[in-house]
Order: sequence, then C-alpha cells, then structure tokens
Amino acid sequence: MAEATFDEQVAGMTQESTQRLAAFEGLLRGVGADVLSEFNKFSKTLAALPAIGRDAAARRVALRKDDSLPLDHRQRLDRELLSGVDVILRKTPAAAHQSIPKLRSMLEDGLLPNAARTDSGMRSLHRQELETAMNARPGTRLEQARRIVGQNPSWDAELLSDYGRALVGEDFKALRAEAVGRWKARLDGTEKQVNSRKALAGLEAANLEGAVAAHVQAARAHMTRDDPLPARRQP
Amino acid sequence: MNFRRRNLYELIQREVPGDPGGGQSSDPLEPTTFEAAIDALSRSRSALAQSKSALERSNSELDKARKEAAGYRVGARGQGAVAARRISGLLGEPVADDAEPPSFDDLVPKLESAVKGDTIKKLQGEVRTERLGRVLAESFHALNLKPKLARGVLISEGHMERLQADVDKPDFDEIVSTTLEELAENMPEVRGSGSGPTRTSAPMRPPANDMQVTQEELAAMSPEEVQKALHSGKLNTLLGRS
Repeated sequence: MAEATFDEQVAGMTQESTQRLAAFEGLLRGVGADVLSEFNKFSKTLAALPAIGRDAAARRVALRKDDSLPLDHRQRLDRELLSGVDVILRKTPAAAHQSIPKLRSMLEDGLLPNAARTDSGMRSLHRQELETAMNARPGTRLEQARRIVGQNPSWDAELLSDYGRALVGEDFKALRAEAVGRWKARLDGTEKQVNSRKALAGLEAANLEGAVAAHVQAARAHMTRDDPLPARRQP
Repeated sequence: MNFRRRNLYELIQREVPGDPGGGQSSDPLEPTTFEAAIDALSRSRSALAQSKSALERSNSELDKARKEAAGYRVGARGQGAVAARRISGLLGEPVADDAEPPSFDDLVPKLESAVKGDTIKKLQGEVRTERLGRVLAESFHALNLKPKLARGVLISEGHMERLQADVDKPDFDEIVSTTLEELAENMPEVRGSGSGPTRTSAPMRPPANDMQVTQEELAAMSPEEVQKALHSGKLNTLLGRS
C-alpha cells in the first residue's frame, strides 16, 4: 500500500470534521434561511482555511526559488507573507467561532414558539390568560414565569416576546434558557420547531469548534511543508 | 213442432249475436220453424268452432308472450344481479358469487353517500390546490422570487409534493416561506421578480488590485471584516496569490 502524500495526510486531518459538518448540513432543512446562510458562511470560511496555508507555502517555495530578485527583498516578502498569514489564521477562525453561538441562537429561536404570525386579538386573549395563570402562582415574576413556561405554546410565545421581556426584565435570558430546555425535551410543535430541535441535537454532535480547530491545524500544517525536520529528540 | 230445448237455444243466441231467423221473427226466443232452428244451430256450431280455434290461437299467443316475458324477467334479474354485485364491490362491500346480491333499494343510499363523498373529496382537493397556489404566489411576491423558475425548482427538487401534503397544517404559511427562503439561499438565481430589465453586459467594476488589503489595514480589521475580505478576494495579495 502506497504511503499517503503530504497533501493527503493534511486532508485527513479535516476529513472527520468535514463528514460531521455534512451530516449537520443535512439536518438544516426547514429551519430557516438565516440559519442556512450563517452555516454556509461558516463552512465556506472553514473550507478556505487549508487553502490559505497551501497557497502561502507555495508562494514561499516560489520566492526561495526565484533568483531574479535580491535575497533581502525575497526575505522581506517572506516575512510579510508569514506575518499576514499569521494574522489571517488568527482572525478568520475567530470569525468562524463567532458563527457558532449565532447558529445556536437562531436554532433556538426556531425551536421556541413565535407569536409573530398570530392575530393581535388572539394575542391579547393569550396575554390575559397568561396574566391570570401567573397571578395564581407564588413567587417573583421570573419564578411565576418559570413555573408556567413549557406548558402552553401560546403562553410561551407571549412570554418569549417583548411582552415577556417587559414582564421579567433583566431575567429574560434565564427565562429563555428555561424555555429552550423545556422545548428541547418536547416532541411536538410546528415543522420548523421539530426541524430546529433535530438541528440543535445535531449541532452538539457536529462539534463545530473542533472542526474550526482541525481546519486551522490543516492550514498550519501546510505552512510547515518545507520546514526542516525537527531535531531528533535525545533519549 | 216447437223447439223444446229452449235453454240450448238461449245459449246459442248469447254465443252468436244477431238475428237467427233472418230478421223475420220479432222474438229471438221463439223460432218459427224447426228448420230455422236447425239452421241457426248449425251456424252456431260453426261460429263456436271458429271461436274455439280463435281461443286456442289466443291461448297459444298468450303462452308465447308469457314465456317471453318470463325470459325477459329472468334475464333482467341476472343482469341486475351482476350490476348489483359490481356496485357493491365498488362500494367496498364485495359479494361472493354464490351469495345473494344486495337489492337496489339497499344500494341506492350507499351509492348516494359514496357519490357525495367523492364530490367532497374532489372539492377538498380543489381547495387544497387553490390554497397552495395562493400561498406560493404570495410568498413569491413577498420574497421577490421569479415565480416560474422557483416553481420549477420546487417541483424538480421534490419540495412541491411535500408542500402539497402539508397544505392542511396550521403552520403551512411558515413552511412555505421557510422552504422558499432556503431555496433562495441555496439558489440565488431564483431571486428577482423577472419583470425588470435584464443586464446583458458585465457590470463595471474597478480593478481588483485597487481593493487589496494592506498589512496595516489587516491588523486593524475585525475578524468578521477579515472573513469578508477573504471571501471577496481582497486578501489575495497578502496571501501571495497572483
């Protein structure tokens, strides 16, 4: 069996994460275009990372071989190239990392009930019901809301809207987290909610942070292609 | 000589209407002579024979007619049974060949309800098709998509069948808008109403080199800006890409 080439070895570093990303992409049906758009941006960024290292390494090789330019000039270009690639390989993964909480937040938005399409008269009735139900429970507004959330989609839609934000104030994040936990455990909901629930489970399994790290390592591995072998470690 | 068999004479008179005496006698019960009575009797006999033969012919014809009618009845009953069996089978209640088929009186109410059910189903199908078309048209307009192209892509990618199955769901509008938004995200060609002017030449753009990011600019850029610049090719010079 032939030994794998350097490029094949580097590609193998990202193979597993690429498969996980493909599996996760398959779950992003019916979850909304915003999620799909963010994921496309994320995967495009990841796909570009190994190419950055590969192209930079090829440029360095070309500079070394180009005797038509003075050595000092080539060394300066090499340093500039390394410096630029280093900055890009720090900032681009950071942007990819920023996409992950955005994706999670968007999927959670899809998982939670939404009152945007409900008639205003119905919303008013739901708010009255919610107010009555909350007043029947002891504790602060947040405690009342936490006892109620996850029981009735119409009430949850109101609790998680601006109305709920006005009710619980700064504790809205805690209420939302509670609602996400309850709705993750449920099985019902609209098609978008069901798809978002599956995608959220897939997001955990996809390990997007690991995929970013794998692709960055692949890019850096390309950069070390023509580095001298490390000194043999003394026993 | 007087005719003594008066009752027989009366009977002949009843069987053979007319004047037995040739219109000469005023009382038909009183023949004038014996010869006249014999003559009347012979005429009555011949008339009786004719009547008998006519009666036999009539009986024969009646017998034929009865047999024919019976044949029709039997035939009609057989065809009716076949029809009743078929109708019953179509209604979902098949009848075995050796079993008695249901009567038409039993079948008519079932047939009526089945026809009404089919009509309702047909109307429901039309309503579903109309709703799908309306929601799609509204969404095409709201999302500024090319209707024909988007519809074609929906059909070719199998989304249309799924949408047709989801028409009755309460969140159908959301399903359609989500599907179309994702379609537009994956296939930007469907964007645009298609009614505006179409550009036939490439848009004028400044040379790519003018937009390349320098080292200093790169250092000051945020991660998102770097990501955008990378995707738009503004970092090519820094990356040594010619």
